[in-house]
Amino acid sequence: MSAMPKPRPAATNPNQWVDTHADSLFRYALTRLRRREDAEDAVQETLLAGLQAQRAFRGDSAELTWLMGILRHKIVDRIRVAARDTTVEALPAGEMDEWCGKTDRWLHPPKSWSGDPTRLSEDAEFWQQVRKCFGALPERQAQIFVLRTFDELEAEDICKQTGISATNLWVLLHRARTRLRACLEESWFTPESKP
Amino acid sequence: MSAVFSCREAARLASEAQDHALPMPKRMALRMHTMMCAACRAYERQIILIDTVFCLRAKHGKPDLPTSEGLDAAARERIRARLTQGP
Repeated sequence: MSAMPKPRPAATNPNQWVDTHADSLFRYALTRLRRREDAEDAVQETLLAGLQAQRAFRGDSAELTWLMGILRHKIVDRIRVAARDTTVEALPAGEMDEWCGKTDRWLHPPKSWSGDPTRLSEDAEFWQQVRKCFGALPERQAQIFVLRTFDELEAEDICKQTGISATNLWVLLHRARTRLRACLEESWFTPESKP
Repeated sequence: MSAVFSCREAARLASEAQDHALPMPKRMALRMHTMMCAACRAYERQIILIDTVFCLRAKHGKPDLPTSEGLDAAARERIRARLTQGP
């Protein structure tokens, strides 16, 4: 009854991983952890874990994708540990400046602008600006937003993996989106109306 | 219960709707609000645009932000040496 064991695909020699994968892994880690030293540590931990788990690699995915999966787990672990003690009250009130006192009206109402998603996604200059706006986000908001978008995790899965409650997650994502939107409006989409 | 609520609440719900299915009454109330309010309508469209642009970049094999920084030679050497010792 047992199926024929799949022949093990030839994975590249781990000795070459630093040359072939380290830069991609480093960029991935730097986007999420921000500090260079943390990103370097995460790359090393990932390659070591990869070395240890090499037999588990069945070649179902590309080797780099597999290593990125390991790295993502390590980053999620860090978020979980850091989030353990955080309550809603302890979250910084990041959206306060968007709202006009007790009236709950927009202080700076969003202007009317739009863009072509495909073109923007390939526009290097746009991404340089995104990087600046993204860098101004509080760390947790940035990490969660990236799990939701770049890593394409469902909100439910982010909650399960990080231990963050659904309500807190929605708040974090809302604040991240609100800040990114406002920053990109001012710097990219309507720069001519800058004071 | 009034179907019309504040922009603050509408913006919150517009974001929440990207992460889970809103219950019907909230969904309806949000739609009513954005129909009448250009600012919240813009907000909703623009946050969807930004989420989409991030997802598209990842789909093109770049799940990261551009950086001029690379792994420097010292870090590369350190990691290589550590890997040689084995797990």
